[in-house]
Amino acid sequence: MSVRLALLGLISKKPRHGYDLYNSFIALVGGEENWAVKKPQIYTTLNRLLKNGLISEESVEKEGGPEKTIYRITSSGEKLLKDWLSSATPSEHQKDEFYLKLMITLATSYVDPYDLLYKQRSRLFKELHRINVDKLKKDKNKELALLLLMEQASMRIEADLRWLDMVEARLDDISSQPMPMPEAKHRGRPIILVGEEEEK
Amino acid sequence: MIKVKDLKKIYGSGESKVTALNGVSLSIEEGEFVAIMGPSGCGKSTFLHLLGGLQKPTRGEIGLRGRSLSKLNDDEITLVRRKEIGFIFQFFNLIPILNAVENVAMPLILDGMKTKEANIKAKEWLEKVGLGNRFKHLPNQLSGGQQQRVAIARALVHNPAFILADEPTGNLDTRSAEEIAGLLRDVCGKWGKTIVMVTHDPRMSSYANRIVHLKDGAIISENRLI
Repeated sequence: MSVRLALLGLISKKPRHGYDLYNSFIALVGGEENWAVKKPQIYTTLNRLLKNGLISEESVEKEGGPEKTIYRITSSGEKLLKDWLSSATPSEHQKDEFYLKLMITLATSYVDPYDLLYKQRSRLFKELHRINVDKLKKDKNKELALLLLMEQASMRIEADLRWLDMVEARLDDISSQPMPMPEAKHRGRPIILVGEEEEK
Repeated sequence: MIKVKDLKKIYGSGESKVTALNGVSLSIEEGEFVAIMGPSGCGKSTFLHLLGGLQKPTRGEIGLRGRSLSKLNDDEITLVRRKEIGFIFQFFNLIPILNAVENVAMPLILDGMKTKEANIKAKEWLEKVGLGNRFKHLPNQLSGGQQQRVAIARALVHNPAFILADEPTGNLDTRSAEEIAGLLRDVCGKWGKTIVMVTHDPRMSSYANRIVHLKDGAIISENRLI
């Protein structure tokens, strides 16, 4: 979703070809390690944008080189882009894979939950190390946008580390409670227990 | 190499006995940058003080490049501290009436070097930590980050092998802390020192290459970051 709209935005800034779009997107997010997008995925997305009439294509001959397809935004593309830019962005903080892993770990006995916490903490510290050390190499006078993106990543990891400490301190309490379950719903004919009527 | 074996430190006795360190064993290679992390009261500062010979352990061994600190007398320990260890503190511990050059030159002068020669070396290190234009400033004319840079130059000026840092950014704002973190990485990466840094801050510890987690006076886990 957001990759599609970001590509639309990059095309809106200036008409360009697929390979240029791929490079521009990777540069915008600060490298492939931050947001892995494959080149074929870019072309699939461009085809979808074309089919929906959000961009148009034209062939441009390069001096002495082969023809290249250049993409240009259409008016309906511009409208969609403006709608996206005018709306707030939902947070996805409750879609947490580690949480799922932890709950399944507690419900089964394949791995030790403390071991899982240790591995997760190690991984987060490694990521924090990579980001913070990379940050030292950036120039705040030229690369402020990327620095702020890295700062956000590092703040989120710090929050995750604090959360892991909290989970670890309360792990025994969590495991003594039942796993979150769907609410029981009656199916078929309502069941009336003997004596229930009178009590009400 | 630093080799610590079953280190114990107990303060007081009888009813008021407090166990600050309860059997810590750890090896640190030359050139490593290790963060000792844990909540306040976990024993991390005690650990650093014992490593630096500022306090004596109740039990256990500290080996510094093959010599056991417990087998040295007080004069010999002072000598080890003066030649081989540099300290960095949370509150910088600069002498307020001395300017930057004089503060940095102090360890050399105490070691018997002539003032003129010591000042030349001090200036070299102030240049290296990015304070080439602050030679004559007194500590109170410098920002917190700059004062800590002076303190780092002072810790390095006598060319020690080991740097012991106690919450080096605990008194600094985020931006200055980041600059000091970068400088400490240079101290290790560029200038080849072994750093043992105590901190409670996950961000700060992430600049190290290894984190040792301490709780209730004992190592509970370790993370290698590279």
